[in-house]
This record gives sequence, structure tokens and C-alpha cells, in this order.
Amino acid sequence: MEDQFKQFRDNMEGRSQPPFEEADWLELQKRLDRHDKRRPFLFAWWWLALPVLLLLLGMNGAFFLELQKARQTISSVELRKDSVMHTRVIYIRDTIYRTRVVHEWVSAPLERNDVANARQTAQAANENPLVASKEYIRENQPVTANFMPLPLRGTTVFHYRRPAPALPEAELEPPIVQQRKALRYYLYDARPKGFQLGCSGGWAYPSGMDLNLKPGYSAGLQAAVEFSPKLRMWVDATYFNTRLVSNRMGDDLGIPLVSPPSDDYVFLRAEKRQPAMQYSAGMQYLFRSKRTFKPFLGLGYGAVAGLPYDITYEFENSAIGLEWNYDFPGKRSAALSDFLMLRAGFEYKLSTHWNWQMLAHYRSNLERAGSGPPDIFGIQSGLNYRF
Amino acid sequence: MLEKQGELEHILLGCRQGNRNSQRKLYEHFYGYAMAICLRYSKNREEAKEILNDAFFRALTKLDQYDPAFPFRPWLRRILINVAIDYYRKNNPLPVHLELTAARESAMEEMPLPKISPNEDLLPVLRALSPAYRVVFNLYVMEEYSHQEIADLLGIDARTSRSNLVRAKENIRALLQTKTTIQSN
Repeated sequence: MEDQFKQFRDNMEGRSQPPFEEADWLELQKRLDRHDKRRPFLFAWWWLALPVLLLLLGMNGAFFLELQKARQTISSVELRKDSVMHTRVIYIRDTIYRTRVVHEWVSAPLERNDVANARQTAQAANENPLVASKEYIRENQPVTANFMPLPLRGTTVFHYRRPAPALPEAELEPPIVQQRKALRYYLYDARPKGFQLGCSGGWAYPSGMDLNLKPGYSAGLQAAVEFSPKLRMWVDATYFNTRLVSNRMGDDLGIPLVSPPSDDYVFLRAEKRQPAMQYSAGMQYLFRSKRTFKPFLGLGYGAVAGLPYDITYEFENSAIGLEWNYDFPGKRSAALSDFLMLRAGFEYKLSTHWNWQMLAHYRSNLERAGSGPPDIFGIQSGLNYRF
Repeated sequence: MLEKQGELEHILLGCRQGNRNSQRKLYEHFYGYAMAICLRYSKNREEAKEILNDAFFRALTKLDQYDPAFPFRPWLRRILINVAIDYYRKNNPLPVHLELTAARESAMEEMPLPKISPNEDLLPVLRALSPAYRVVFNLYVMEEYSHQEIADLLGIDARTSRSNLVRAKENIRALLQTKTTIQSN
């Protein structure tokens, strides 16, 4: 028996080898070229993504520190406002001071040699026509002719002060100082002023491919940096899982050709469960930003990476009424593609730190060729915490 | 010629560095050898070319896994066989579980193949087999794998492998006899 096989084997091994075909090499060369191009792109993508992520983290850290400083500054400014109030009180006292310019008596501890001075002062006060007037005496009882005939140690003696010259009327309006606005001024004005972190989930409806599309779901994390009450930048990472059903097979759909167990079986359809990871960033504008209910509109850009997916094929043998379902062994992976995203929705402020978001978004892939993830229309709801 | 250790090593070094000329030289040199193997596992030349290029692509991109202490040709052959098996599994997802009774199997195993002349072209006979029979026959006869090894590689039972071999042999016998009859007439 083994000899028969050996005879067969020798015959096959001794067969003349086919000649080299240039076309076959060119086909392989193209494939190698594609492979070589793809690798730098993937590496470049990661090396670009890494600094962006680090930059975002750094910005968030810097922003948080700036926010702390700003809060401290605001607290100190509030204290300074109190001081300003005191200044205003001083103005009022100044007005009183002008009455004292005529009538002021300053208290000082009594000294031995001040006794004579006190008497002289009292006499001088009585000689002063203003002090001697009835009006003044009525208002300032301590300064009378009977005042302190014999001053004692430890008691208060009033000294008369010469009237100060009249002060010119002060300009109360502060002078206007013209300051030149530098670039730094505008940059500082556009600095991040708030940071939000949250999670979201919802429904995803694939569209844009020649398939029967079934809804799936999405879940993800998102962060947002507020540059002003109306302008905000978001960054999110979302996991999508959608189902696609096709009545044809083809590599353009990411559904490889599969042979049925026999020619009697007819292909009915294939179902592809397509998970994908989406990273996006964009700017959104908030209307009615000072209200509790804030509608918003946003435009963003991102990349979606198709994760390995499963395919189930359905064949039917109508002659015997049997169906044959086949799960494609192993996982297939889809390509990486970039997209533009439009999102619109509203945000409802629940408390100082918490808000609830409801939004609809449309993701349109920029690259149409290949078996990448399809366009997605989705509705998401999320909860955010504002730091 | 190229098999001289120094020259092959030089080409392999170039291939590792991604030099396209070295890759072409390697491809051109092993093309005949590799295509002869691929033709045995496929039903036509297009399939064979696909297996061949898949195998070379895998070899050239995973060349860093090749140990130069061992000969290159068996390493390439193993890749070719693995790719051919992958191709078979991809395109024939339903494992054929046709088992013969022990009595019939032993009876058929005893039946000899017709005499094969050295100049006879057996490739059309091999290609006429169904993919399941062809792959088992190739692995058992040409690569000298055991039924258990074939079963592990193809994800089938060892008895199925044995049955497929017997059926392949039966088909080959029938085809060769038909061929002989036509030639004699």
C-alpha cells in the first residue's frame, strides 16, 4: 500500500515545475506595497494621537490649576471690594471733617504743663466768635464758658485747632486710562473656563450602505472644555455595535464568499454584527447659554476603527426544505476610516455641577471604499459632571 | 545555484530589510517549487496563484520568525501547506463527516491503485477530486502526515480523515482506470 503512495508521490515530485510568471510577482508586489504603506500610516496615527491625548491631558491639568487660581483671585477681589466700601466711608468722614475744620477739638491725654494751655484754650475758644455763638454752644455743649475751670490729671482736655484751608473740590470720576489690548489679552480671554466629564449611551442606526440595516446601540465617555458660556469643545470615545443584513456576499461589504455544503443550497442572507470604536472631537455652540435649558449645535471630526466582527450565513435547500446556518469561523477585522460628525441636541442643567444631555448625531464617513463601518445616525442621552 | 548558503543568506537579509529586488529574487527562485505544491491543493491555476501569493506574503512579512540555523525550503513548504489548509477551511466551511463502516473501509484500503507510469500526469486526476478528499490525500500521501495530525489541522475527526483518504483513493482509481480505458481505445 505504501509503495503505491510512494509511486504517486515520486510521480508528483518529479513533475516539471511551472515557469516563473511576471504577472504573479507584480500582484504580490502591489500587495507588499500596500502593506508597507499601511504600516507607517498606522504608526503615524498612533504617534499623532498620543501627543494629542497628552496635550489634552496637559491642557486639562493647566486649566484646572488656572481655575483654582481664578477662584482665589475672585475671592481676593471680593475682599478688595470691601476695602472700597471703606474708602467711601472715608469720603463721608471727610465731609464731616470739613465741619470740624471750624469746630474740631482733638482729645489728648492731660499733662501737667497742659493745664495752663487748657485754660488759655478755653478762653480762646470763648473769644472765638463762632464758638461763642448760640448755635455752636447748642451743638457742642462741652465748649462753654463754664467748661473745665480746674482740669484734673487723667481727664480730657480739648485743644483748639486752627481751621484748615478749604480743600478744592475733588474730581470724583476716575480718570480713563487707555490700554492697548495685546494678543495675550485675547488669548487670556479665550482660555478654558470650564471642564465637563460624562458618560452617554443610546441607539445607533446604520445607513449609507447597500444593505438592510438594523439598529444597534452605543455607549461611551465624553469630555468637554468650555471656552465661553456659548462655545465648547468636546472629545469622546464611543463603542458602537450595529447589525447589518445583506442578501449578497462580497468583500466590498466585508462579507467573504462562502460555498454552501452542496449546490442544492441557495444563499438567503448574511448577518454581520459590526462593533466599532469611535473617537471624535469638535466644537459646539450653545444657544440660551444662561438658561437651564440650552439647545446646542456641533460639528466635529474623528476616526472610527472597525473591531473584529462575526458573520452568520443562511442557506436554504428548497427541495428538501432545509436551512443551513453557518457562523464564519474566526473574526474579520474592518478598516480604519475618518468621518465628519454633525450633532444637535439640548442640555438641561440639573444642579450647579450636574447636567443632562440629549442629542442626535449623524456620522458620515469620508472614505466610501472598502468594508469599513457604515454611516451612523444615532440618538444619545448622557449625564455630565462640571468641575 | 541560489541554494548556495551565502547567496541565499544575502537575499534573505535583503528581504528582511524590505528590499524589493531581494524579495523578487527569492520569489522567482522558489516560484516553480512553491507553485507545484499549490497546484496540488487547488482546483485551478487561479486558486493556486492566490495560495502562492498568500504564502509568500506571509513568509516575507514574517521573515523575522525564520531561524537561519535551519534550511529555508522546508520553512517555506510548511507555510505553503498552512496557507493551503487555511484556504481550504475558508472556502469549505462545512466539515464533511462521512464515515465508512470499518468493514467497508478495510476492504477498500486493500484495493490497490492501478500501476502508475513515471511519465503520467497525475495533476488532472488530483484536481478532479473534491476539495475535502484532495486535501486529505495531499496531506497524507505527499506530506506524510498521520490521520491524527490531519484531523487536528483540519478540525475533523481522525476517522473522517481515514474515510476521506479511502474515498480519494477510490476516486483516483476510477479516474485512472477511465483514463487508461480511453487511452487504450
